[in-house]
Amino acid sequence: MKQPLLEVKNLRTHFLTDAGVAKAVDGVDLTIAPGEVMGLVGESGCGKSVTALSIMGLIQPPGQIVDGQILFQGEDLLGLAEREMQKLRGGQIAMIFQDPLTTLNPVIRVGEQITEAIAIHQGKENMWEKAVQMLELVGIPSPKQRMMEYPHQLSGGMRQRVMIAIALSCHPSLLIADEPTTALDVTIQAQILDLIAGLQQELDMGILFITHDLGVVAEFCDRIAVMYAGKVVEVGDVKQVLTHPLHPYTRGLLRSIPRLQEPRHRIEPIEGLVPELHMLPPGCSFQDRCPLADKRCTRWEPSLREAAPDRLVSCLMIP
Amino acid sequence: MYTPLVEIEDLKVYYPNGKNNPVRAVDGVSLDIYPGETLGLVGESGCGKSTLARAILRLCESTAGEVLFDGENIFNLSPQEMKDMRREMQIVFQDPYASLNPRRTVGQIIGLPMALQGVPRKEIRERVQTLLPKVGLQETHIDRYPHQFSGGQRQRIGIARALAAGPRFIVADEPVSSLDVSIRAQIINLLQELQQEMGLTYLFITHDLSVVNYVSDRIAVMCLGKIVELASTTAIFASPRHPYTQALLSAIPRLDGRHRRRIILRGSVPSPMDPPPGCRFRTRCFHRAKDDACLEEPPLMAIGDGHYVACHYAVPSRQWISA
Repeated sequence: MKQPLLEVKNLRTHFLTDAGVAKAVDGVDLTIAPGEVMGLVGESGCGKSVTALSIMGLIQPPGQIVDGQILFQGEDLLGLAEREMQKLRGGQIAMIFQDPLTTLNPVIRVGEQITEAIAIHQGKENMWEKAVQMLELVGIPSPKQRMMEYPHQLSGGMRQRVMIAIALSCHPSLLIADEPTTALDVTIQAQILDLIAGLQQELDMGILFITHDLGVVAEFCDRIAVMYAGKVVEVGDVKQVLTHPLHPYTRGLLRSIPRLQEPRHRIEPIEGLVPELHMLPPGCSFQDRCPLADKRCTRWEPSLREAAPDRLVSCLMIP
Repeated sequence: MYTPLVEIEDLKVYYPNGKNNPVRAVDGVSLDIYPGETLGLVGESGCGKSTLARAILRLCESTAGEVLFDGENIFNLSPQEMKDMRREMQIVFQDPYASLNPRRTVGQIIGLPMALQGVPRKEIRERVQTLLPKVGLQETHIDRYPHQFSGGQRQRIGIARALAAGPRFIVADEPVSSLDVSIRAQIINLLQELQQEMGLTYLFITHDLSVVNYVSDRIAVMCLGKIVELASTTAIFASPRHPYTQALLSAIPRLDGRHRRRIILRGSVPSPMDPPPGCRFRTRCFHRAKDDACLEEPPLMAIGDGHYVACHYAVPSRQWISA
């Protein structure tokens, strides 16, 4: 088997708050092969973004990575010094964020923001030309002129393209995209997804694509990992998981979204609420909302195991 | 044929911007909303959906046009008459965090519309207590504050407040957009149950086309201040005729949707301060964009069966959905 591009093992990132320890990420396992697009889905607060920030080495106090390994091309990122991590970050591993308006610097011209990344990782030679090429690559019309503009002069879709240009300017082998299209309208979302898919093919990147939209995952990703309350509960091939979900949470999610093909079938919500992260029940975190749960689920914490070929599920009730 | 509950006639809302070109947020919209139906209103951000909703409820001043509620022009009502009219028409807002006063208890929030309608104080608490279980909250929640509730529960409080005055017509402005998927389904189902139980009429505003498909009887598609297509939900999804509607529908990410044909629009949305002359969609249109005829603004034309479309070339759809 080929060496995975990224392997996250038993990652635990906790936040020490006044209300107690919030276990935002509590034992995440994740593997991404080179050139693979992995969708990471789940509801707000389930730990998707904290997982991404942990991989990038961007966890700030009161957050703390308390356990686990993050292997990037075989090397444990958690053992790296900050200087070494800086070389990787923005170079080999890049990230795009949800909201391009708050992540671009409003008082610095677009061109300078792109050349900054290039200067750090590739040197200052030809950096302006390279930046123009990147803007052209992400489909921004009249790129030379745009280089001189400020973020507020661009539309939301254009700003996200600039973010993508910055992230891809150093040809990363791993791109982490945290809800890159959530703030955009559907027609613009289609443009951006099309763009990322095209560039992914061209540059052969591995992508960790974080979203809460299962439709986006279905269209864009090869594999899917479903997160709930700080843990990955199901992993597998996108088509397989979406047509034959095994974990009760994945099943519940799929039943709760309206479908275009069968508009009149009644959607069924998952009853109850996501548990507070600093007061997780012992045993399985999904027990209170789970239709299958019995006594065992309050006692033992399930772990990810192979429940079918190429399918990992974390549930005691799945044979 | 039914008489409409709400009739909107050539409604315009312009916001002055200090120069000669006001922002034409709503630019000549005519619509009828029938009793007991859910009319879905979809469009991209900035197309004027929310401004239209507020103008219908007279929560913002309109530049021109009229809105008739039950045959009565609400723009001609005196402040006192308008206050009585508000009993009939209410709104549920998008953000359940920003739309509830953090310093008022649930009882005060839901009781306020009743107090304004002159319900005696003693009765208010009792009525709030009977209303809470209807929206899936508990009677004991009455003395709590908004911060003690989750997003979904807050939206239930917002819905209870809208129901407090006993309205016939409710505008739901993106009521589930800020909620997580599993919670979203709870709120959608609640709105539908309440509609059946109380015979409510909804104007349901959203940018999420799969939600609108689920809840609406008819759908109006808005683009830069204008309605460009209006038809039954089935017709909109089975045979969209306006190229903008076709592009919107094909852009929805779908669970079964790999390797299908998608229309990717080129260019960005024009500013409503400076819309292109003629057809509003002309600059992004993918088939007839260069035609001179499109320089003339297309009216909303009936093409039969309650289907209306504003396009000079309203071509039969090529079955985008089943493709």
